[in-house]
Amino acid sequence: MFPARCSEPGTSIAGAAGRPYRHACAWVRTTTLTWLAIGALGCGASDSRSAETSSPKETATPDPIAPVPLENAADPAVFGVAALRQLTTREYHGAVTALLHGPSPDLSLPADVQLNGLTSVGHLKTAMSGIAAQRFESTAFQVAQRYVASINLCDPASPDCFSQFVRTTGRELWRRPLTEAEVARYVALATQAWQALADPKEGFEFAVAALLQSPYFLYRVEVGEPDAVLLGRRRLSNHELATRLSFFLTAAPPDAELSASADAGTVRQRLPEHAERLLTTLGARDAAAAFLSEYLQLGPLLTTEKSAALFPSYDASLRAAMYQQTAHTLTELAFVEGLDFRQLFTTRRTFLTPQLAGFYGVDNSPDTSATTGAAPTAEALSPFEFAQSTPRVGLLSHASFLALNAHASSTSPTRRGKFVREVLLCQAVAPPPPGLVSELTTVDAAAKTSRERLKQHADNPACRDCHLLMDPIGLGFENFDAIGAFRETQNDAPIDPSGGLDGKVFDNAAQLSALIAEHPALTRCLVRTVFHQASGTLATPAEEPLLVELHQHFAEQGYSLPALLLGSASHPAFDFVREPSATAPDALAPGEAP
Amino acid sequence: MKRRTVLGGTLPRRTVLRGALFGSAVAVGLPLLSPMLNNNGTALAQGGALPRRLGVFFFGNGRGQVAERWTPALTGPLWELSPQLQPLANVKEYLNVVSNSQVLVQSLREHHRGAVAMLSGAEYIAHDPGNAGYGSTFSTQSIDQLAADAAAGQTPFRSLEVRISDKIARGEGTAVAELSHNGPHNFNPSESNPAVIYERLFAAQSSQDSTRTHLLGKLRTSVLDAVRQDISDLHRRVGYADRARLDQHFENIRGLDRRIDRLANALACRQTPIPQDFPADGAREPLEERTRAMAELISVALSCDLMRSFTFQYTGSVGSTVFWQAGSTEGHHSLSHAGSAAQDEIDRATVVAMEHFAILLEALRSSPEGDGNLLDSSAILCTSDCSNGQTHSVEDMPIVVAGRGSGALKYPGVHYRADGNNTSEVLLSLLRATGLKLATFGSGGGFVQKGASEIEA
Repeated sequence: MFPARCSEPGTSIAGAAGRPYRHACAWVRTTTLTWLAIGALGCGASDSRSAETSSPKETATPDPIAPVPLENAADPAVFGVAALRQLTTREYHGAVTALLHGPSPDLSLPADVQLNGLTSVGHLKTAMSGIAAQRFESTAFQVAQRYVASINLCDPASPDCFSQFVRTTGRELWRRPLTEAEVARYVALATQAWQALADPKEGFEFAVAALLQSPYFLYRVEVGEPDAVLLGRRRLSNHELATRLSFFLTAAPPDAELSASADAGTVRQRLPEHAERLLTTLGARDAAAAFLSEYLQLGPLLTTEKSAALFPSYDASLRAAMYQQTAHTLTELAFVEGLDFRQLFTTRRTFLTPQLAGFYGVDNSPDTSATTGAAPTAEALSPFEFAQSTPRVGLLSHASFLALNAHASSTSPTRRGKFVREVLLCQAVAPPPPGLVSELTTVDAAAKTSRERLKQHADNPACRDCHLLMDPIGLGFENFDAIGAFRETQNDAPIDPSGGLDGKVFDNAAQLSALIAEHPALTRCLVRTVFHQASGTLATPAEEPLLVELHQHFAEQGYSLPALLLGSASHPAFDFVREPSATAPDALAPGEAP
Repeated sequence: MKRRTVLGGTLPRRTVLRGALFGSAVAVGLPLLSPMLNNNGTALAQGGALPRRLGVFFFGNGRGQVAERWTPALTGPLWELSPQLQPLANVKEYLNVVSNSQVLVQSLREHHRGAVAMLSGAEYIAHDPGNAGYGSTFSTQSIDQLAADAAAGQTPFRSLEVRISDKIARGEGTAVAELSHNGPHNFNPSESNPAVIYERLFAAQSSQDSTRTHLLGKLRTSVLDAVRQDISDLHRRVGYADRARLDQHFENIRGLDRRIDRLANALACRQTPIPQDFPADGAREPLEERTRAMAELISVALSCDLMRSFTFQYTGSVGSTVFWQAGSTEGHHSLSHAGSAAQDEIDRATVVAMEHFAILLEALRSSPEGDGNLLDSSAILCTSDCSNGQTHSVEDMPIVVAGRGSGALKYPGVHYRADGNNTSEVLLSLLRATGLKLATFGSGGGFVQKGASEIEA
């Protein structure tokens, strides 16, 4: 059941190259513990997965995590690894907005890359593409022209004009003071442009365009210096810490107050104060909204198509409204109000547009709007509370989740169940074993409901172990069709939405949502996802105790999301990153014979 | 006003329209002109060989359940087109079909294994699973980048990456989202908007008339020099993974810089109108219109030697393209798992894919070069990530190699029925046809020491 080679922390697992596969075991450990708790179904999963994780090739990832022996109990608490984090589209716009003291212009930036569901992780790991470099070049000139046109320029003939300009602008764009060598380099460039083009303005523009193309602007540098106290970890500089804090909470560079604190070297001492202040800004609200949309993996909904013949009402505007409903409800209730996060799954409160009110078949005329007011980004949404008599309870009764996790013309109990397991509970479900024929070969011709059609998943041992983890959850949502509309019957047969979740039974989706709300993995999973967001990396075994600690704090604070964000940023480990691996992971070299 | 050509001669200035450095004007002109070639049109007059090109046309989720729908009945030179390959009738002599070869890379995850093996002959690298256990990336560079390395420094662009369907699986890492890779987590993103491709290829071509443009080019180089110094300073302070990322960043910057010079010296390109952006109408993606526009742009760009390597991601592995032309309303990946009843629809979707592959091949064939056309100097792999999407089988992979490979591939083409051979053998033949002198190719289970000699001339 529990793979012996990864059984206990403290056991070193030597691979073919004699290296401990600590990283791979973290995966098995965090997920397998959960499997055990839910009755050790094994899911065939344990087999295929432990086979994969025990393969040296599977562990030969380019991940920069150092192979610290597991025996080392004194692992320092850190938030991720020393790394360069390429600005996301939102962060780039945040930096440009700060520079211009006004809205960022339309910029043709490269597409964001998500890994493990988060842009934050994708932008720490993936390399910048050639096309991205080309785009960053043209946007740099675009922003530079706009910036230079908006400020008073000194006379380049006067001493210190360019150097003062480079020093000030560079400080803002690079989020740290420039060295004198750096200032001199960019001053030389400005001078060259000024003289070549015989226009002072060109000098300023070229300097800004160059600063904007520097890796010190395009990446959040979280490299630090070796820690004097503990080997294996690095302490972020005050400027790096300020940058990490600000981008984590507001998706934008440090504001004037935080920057001044970084220059004075007081970020650590004043960190809780800074964090509290940042959390009250509009930027923090927008950043939280973006994070929560990624947490629920809502993005793909905007391009999810449905069968036009079966669902004529489902169009781009309806799905955008569905997206807005969930994103806004989460942001308002979890972030702005700081509601107990678990209640998001049981509350009947939400926000609807007139179109959505029509979709849900409720009356939400504007005069029922409460005082909370609508957000500027979603003026068409107004607060609404579903009546007790309706089946709409919690986030999982939103059309967004229901439509996104369904096929184009039919529901998919498996996908809905997989979403709950993987996204909400952080329990990875193993992929189907190789060579498996995914066709349901024994569907009874008389089968009318999804439950009847999926019977083979429950009967066939090859399918059962994994599908038992997903299908019973998904079948609980069968009263909602492929776009999330309520239905009592399927093909004229009554729908039975009852089932069980990890040993507890439910009669319908509302009860299932209540079970998910009180599932111990729900809030732990959110803590883990916030950690991924903050650090740009997945937690390693050494960081598991930190997650426990953060969860403890989260619980004490009544599962309030702002408290979790504040607690994470204020934790002493937030100042530290792990020493990165200096060498290549051992991969099979191209051309190497098996 | 005269302008230098690759031959060291001059062309009238009017063959090149003026372009602005950061603007959107375009240089246009002519393909490799006869006076530039030797008498029989097989090489440049100075003796240099004509460019050799490599392309990949990829469709996701396999050809369907019934092998006979794809695989020609007869083998050898007398083969006839199968029902699914019928749309390629006009270019049949340029096709070599390879059947019954298999992916031998020993990875477990379906779709990912085949996608990575067919593009790189190697295994994927599994992601840190986190709470989503099914992601991966390439472990090494893809074949288009190997070919681009071979031509490095000779063309303004290393390679071109186009995509037709936007219904790509983006939640499973780069391995199934993108074809062209430089290494792990390091990919060259594809673009589905022909107008953007046009802009990228042609807008940056600058004229040399203007002193100001020349100055701007020099200054731009100075900007990139300053940035490169920052990259190299930062390089010393970071770990292995970030050094690799900075190396790529550095390479990208160098590419931008060199492009300025290379474009100035490049051959002029045949004029082509600025293409439309073809947005999707709900689930109905304009696959044919995009394919036609992309085929034209690729033909023009290859003709004037802007790049020699391209990938054409028609649909994605695990992709959810709706083949409305085939009567579908469901995404292709879901459909491939919807049981035997859906197999007719899958079959029709494969036929549509081949109709659109034919558009690309016919565009290349109608682009003259020397005595022949672009298909004569190209080797284009058409394949998928599996044979039968329903089972994810990687046996009997669907493979067509199109183009004469500059004489390296059999012409007229044959149907070679392999005996369960490693698919990497085909990739090795393809790379050799592109001019790479390789004795072996691939790694792990994808390692081979011989090509598919049956399709080599």
